[in-house]
Amino acid sequence: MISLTAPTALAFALLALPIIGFYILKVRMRRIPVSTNLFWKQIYEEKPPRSIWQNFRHLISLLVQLLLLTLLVFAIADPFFAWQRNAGRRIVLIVDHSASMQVMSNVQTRLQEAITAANKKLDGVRENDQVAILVADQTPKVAVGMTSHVPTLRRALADIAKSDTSTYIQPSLDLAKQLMGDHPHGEIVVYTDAIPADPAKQFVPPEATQNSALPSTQAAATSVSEPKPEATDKKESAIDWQILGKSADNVGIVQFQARRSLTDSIGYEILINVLNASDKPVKCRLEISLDDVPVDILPIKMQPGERWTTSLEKTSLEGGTLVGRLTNIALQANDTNTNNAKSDPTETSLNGLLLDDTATAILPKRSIQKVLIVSPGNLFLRKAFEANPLVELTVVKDLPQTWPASHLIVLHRLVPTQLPPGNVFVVDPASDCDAWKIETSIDNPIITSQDDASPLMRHIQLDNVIVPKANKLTFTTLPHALASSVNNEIIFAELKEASSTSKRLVLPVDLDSSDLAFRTSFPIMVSNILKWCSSDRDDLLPAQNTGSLLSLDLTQQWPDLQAHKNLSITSPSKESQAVLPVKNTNDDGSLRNVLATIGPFDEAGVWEVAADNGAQDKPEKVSVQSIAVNLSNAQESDTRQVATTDASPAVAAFVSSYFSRPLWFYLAFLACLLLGLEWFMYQRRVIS
Amino acid sequence: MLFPADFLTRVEYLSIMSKRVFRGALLAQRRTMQMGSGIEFSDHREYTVGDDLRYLDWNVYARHGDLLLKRFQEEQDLHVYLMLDCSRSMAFGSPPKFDLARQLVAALAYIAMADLDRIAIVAYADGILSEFPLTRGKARILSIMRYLESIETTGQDTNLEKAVKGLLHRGTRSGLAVVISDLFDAHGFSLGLDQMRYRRFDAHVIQLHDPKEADPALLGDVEFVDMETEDSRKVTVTEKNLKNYRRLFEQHQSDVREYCRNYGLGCTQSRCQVPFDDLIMHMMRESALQAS
Repeated sequence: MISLTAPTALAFALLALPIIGFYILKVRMRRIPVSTNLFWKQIYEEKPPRSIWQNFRHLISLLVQLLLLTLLVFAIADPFFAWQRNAGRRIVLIVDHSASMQVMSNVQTRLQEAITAANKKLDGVRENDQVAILVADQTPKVAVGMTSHVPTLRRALADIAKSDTSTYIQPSLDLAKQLMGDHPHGEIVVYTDAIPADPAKQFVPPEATQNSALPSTQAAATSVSEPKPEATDKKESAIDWQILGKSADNVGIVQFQARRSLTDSIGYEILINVLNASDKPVKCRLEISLDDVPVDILPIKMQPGERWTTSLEKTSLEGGTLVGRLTNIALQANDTNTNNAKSDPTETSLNGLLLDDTATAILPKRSIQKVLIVSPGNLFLRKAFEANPLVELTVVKDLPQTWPASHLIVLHRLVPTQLPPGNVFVVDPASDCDAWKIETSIDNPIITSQDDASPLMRHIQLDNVIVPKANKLTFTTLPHALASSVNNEIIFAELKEASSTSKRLVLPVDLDSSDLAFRTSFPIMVSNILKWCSSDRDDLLPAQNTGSLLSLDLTQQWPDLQAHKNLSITSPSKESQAVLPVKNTNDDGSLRNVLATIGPFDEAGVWEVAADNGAQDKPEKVSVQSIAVNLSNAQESDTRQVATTDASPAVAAFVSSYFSRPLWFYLAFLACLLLGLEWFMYQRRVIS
Repeated sequence: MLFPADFLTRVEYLSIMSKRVFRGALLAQRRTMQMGSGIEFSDHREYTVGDDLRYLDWNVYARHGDLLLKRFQEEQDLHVYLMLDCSRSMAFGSPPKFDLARQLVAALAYIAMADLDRIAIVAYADGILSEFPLTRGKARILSIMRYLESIETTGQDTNLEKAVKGLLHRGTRSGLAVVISDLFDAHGFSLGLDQMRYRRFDAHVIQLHDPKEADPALLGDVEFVDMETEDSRKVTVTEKNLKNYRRLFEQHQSDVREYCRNYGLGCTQSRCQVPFDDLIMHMMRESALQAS
């Protein structure tokens, strides 16, 4: 049975009356006097003046016009079948806006093609259909919820912006399936640019090994892996994969990371990985600059599909933004098929994706640390500090009258009755002070426990190390034992004062009589102490992948941030959003850390975490942390991963868009055809 | 108004212009090929009994003793027959072709009478409808104009041949015949003109037509009504039909021109919107060019 949405529209059928009236007027021909019929007779003598068809032509014209009116009236009345009412579909459109969707395909990007295809799909939305649009991302974004209002859906599609993130389809599929529920006519349409032929390998995670060279803490900040879709999902059959775009060659940086040198305090290492995602041998240049100052230029030649990897060691005290940029991408000269293209420095056909031509890393500034050693004389101690090029060392033999500010004061044996303000490291104290009293001397204590979690004990393993000679101290306040003997005698401790921010360490070990094991670990201990006492955040934050989340540790900056306000993060395109740090405390109420979750980063480039300086007269933003974000995804950079050209998806799209429209559309279409027929018959008068 | 107030002035001007241009070639006094009682000597012939002795050439008789009779070329005034098509088809046009035709008849009659020729007006359609008998003298122009004003279009079957035969059966002396018509003759325009040629008439054809006849702006379903026969015909006019019509009309005009050229007849084809004096001046120039 057919029902009408707007039955009152049938009143338009009254228009048949004027049509019939005009028909009657039309049948009455114009009488035109002519001076002679001689010539007209000659013309019409060739065939019967009015054939049977011509005699009935006006009647057929009337019928066509009435049929035209009928179709239009029914189209306005918007008829629908009973099964349509019961068979309203629930459609979820998933639009992939990942980085690879920025690749140009003909005159449009793949993303624009996806939006166009989705709009075509909307053409076929019927009255009772419900459609939702999801933007595929690590955390799927609901562009618009279930609705049948097509203009809203089209606006939502138009608002989908490009993103520099990797491809994350599965989370959107999961959400789409939740939206679908148990609906009997559910349909999920995914608009993306790449899908492997083997479903089991769909959307493999970004390079799992690309950060393997980084410290474990850095690897935690990389993008979240894309889980594989479940091949046995019962809803899988309802997923319509619309593969867009065409295969494009590309050369891009798929890894760009910097880290501190293990051997040089002011040195850093760069790990670079460039992928030739094309079927041609390619050459290019990799230009590396630090704050726009050229650092190195590397010529690169790569075979088809080759991944070029290198690591560079450089030094920089000032630090800055390290930028790697691919330029002069061209085919290799020895390729016989590329005589014309090789001289073109802007070979766009080889560079489908511009996003991965540039990668950044942030290299923090290294600051000089002033150290004052008060010691009657110990060459080993002095050399341990002198070995660090970031240390500006002063050595005195007697306790000074006044203590210099901003210095790490190292007291060897000489200890004042009251420890000086600031950061103090006491080695082998020979006398008592306000923080401890020397009880007895300990012979050959064995270190049995150490605080491995403390940054002061990083890279140090003192378990079972025998210290030939040490002093047993009795502390006025409970210290934090970093290393202690089997009898719980403090070998290395941090003195904590709740009311002070000064950092105080004590190592009651006689350096002169220490053995090789201790002497080996002592310079590392010194390095850890210097790093710990440094006010600068010298931990190098690795470059993040687009789409990833970052848990930023703001503990060290927290004292300054408390004075500042409005912590925010600014994207490379200068869009800001607030950052809410979370303060975590220990059980005793002391500050454990301050963390801020930032991301996901949807844009490649340098993001800036900043805060207002709080000044009333001259407010300005103070940089807190710069974060480098790169695409760094070989799968995204390989823009060849497009399904082979197959007309069937286009045909399917055509069929789905043109043969799933509501009934009124076909009625109107038929009416247009009839109108054309009527015009053809009578305006052109081909019949006669 | 068929004849405007300045009609006679314009006609008089044409008359003067005709003397300057034609110098008797068209409508001036003409010598006929007949021998008669003129004053210009032609030749001699032998005397026969019964000849008028007054024409004997006594000088020859005195010298040679032969009786020869002098012959003189007879001078006659020219008879101009203005054949006016009064069929209903002539009422077509804006202004009607019939108006221009009557103005032309009046003007030509005046010019001829100004040259001492005799003119006769024959109104015809299915046959001869009426006739203004041979007359001479410019003073008759007003009578002619009244006569022309009284004529109306009529008839259902235009037949020039029948009209010409009717004229000839009256023993009409040959002369100049000017046919003013649209030549939409179902029997064929050439039959009547052939009759004139056979009787040694100097014929001149003035064919008039309206632009709507040459290029009718008609499309669609129409019912044509023939103004003469009142036959109607329901047709659907298409671009193709119009193209064929234009081709046939142009063929008809071309046939008329071709016929006149083949048999030495004067031919003037014109639209009915042209002023009569312009048309006559055009005819004069054409004739002058041909004479030269």
